[in-house]
Amino acid sequence: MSIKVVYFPFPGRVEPVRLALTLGGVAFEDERVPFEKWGSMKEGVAPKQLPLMHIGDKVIGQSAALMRYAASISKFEGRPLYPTDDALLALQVDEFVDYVSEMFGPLGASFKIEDQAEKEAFRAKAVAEGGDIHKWLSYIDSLLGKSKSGFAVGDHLTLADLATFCWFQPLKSGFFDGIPVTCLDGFKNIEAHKQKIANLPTVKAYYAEPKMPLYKTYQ
Amino acid sequence: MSIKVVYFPAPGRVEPVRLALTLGGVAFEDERVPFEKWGSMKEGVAPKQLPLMHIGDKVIGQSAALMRYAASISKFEGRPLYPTDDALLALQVDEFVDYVSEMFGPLGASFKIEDQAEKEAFRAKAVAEGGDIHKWLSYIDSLLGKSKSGFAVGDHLTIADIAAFCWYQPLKSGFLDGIPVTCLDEFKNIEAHKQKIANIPAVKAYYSEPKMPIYKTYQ
Repeated sequence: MSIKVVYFPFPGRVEPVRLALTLGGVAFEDERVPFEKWGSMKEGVAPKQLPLMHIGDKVIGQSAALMRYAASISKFEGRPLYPTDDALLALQVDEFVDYVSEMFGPLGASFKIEDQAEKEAFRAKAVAEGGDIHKWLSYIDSLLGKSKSGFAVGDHLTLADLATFCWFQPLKSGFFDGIPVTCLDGFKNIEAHKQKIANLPTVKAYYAEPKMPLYKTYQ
Repeated sequence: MSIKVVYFPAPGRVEPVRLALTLGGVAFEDERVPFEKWGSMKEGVAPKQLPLMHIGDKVIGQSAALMRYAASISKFEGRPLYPTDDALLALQVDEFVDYVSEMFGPLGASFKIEDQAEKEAFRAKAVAEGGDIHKWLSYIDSLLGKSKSGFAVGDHLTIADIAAFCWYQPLKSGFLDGIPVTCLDEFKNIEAHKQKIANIPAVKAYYSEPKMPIYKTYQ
């Protein structure tokens, strides 16, 4: 069944989908829609949102759902990136992913602030101590610190690791006005985890030729 | 393995967890923490959020994850409320649930508005035509209208039906200041779906003695 992932040209919320399918060796078309083209395309798309995934003749939306599906059908070192056969382990993977995704609340809200100075101040506050992104970085950092295996959940690579890696690293890229490139420096476990994931040969190869400058954050 | 669900006394985002376990005949303790007690309890809870589920010796958070787990282990008429053995069907269930949960964006934002008049105006606008909750009610209403079986996804009851039922019905209860009790009136498919779910004998029995007035919305 043919798979096509449709999103904007950057990582965003969909990057774990692309990375999971790549790690699993699942063939997919990676359609990146330029922002200027989205306006005219939007009307023809029912939920008026990206990402969308074409699977055979079906068109499915909602990045969190697509991530879980991509991970379910992608195996790394013989094990699916989402444990479909173990409801309790799957719950723990889902829980971890959802804690990491808490950052999108404040980050998403910041995109709606029209005044540039206000936007940057809002973001700076969110990633500083006591802020609404900082508190989740702290929490995830502490969870990673408790992991015996070094993986987010259990003893092998799962979607939880991919979500953490894909979503946190852009924060330090300098591409979000107002969020300093030092914003992750205090989190030693997040950095160690980043190194662990980035150095997996397939991950390293995937990000070796950045599709756009922002992607250097994964190297 | 013993299960305890910990949340406030309201339906909120956790109600699908309670209903799924009930439909599946899975025993669980339903701990309802009075709002005034949460303040002192919060410090002892790592992510400082409810709901939490105690499963044996584990304590897990994140309502979306807990819903998926509860549905995975609960069978209704012989079929789990979440299709763990069919990744593509599971994806469609997840997608539907996530579309319904889009309402929590604007609704959650409204709780943060301190001025009562401003809060009510914000909510009234969200559920009126063109509003950010109205557009998702419209979309889900159209999806339900296309369903041959009358169920949200596929041909049997899933967590997608339970989420739509549990999360939409409180909107018309009058308990959210600023959201009129007529807010769902125009959505004929949502109403037909509500009747379908509410009249399932186990659902009808569960809501026959409302735990608090807002629960009458499910009758």
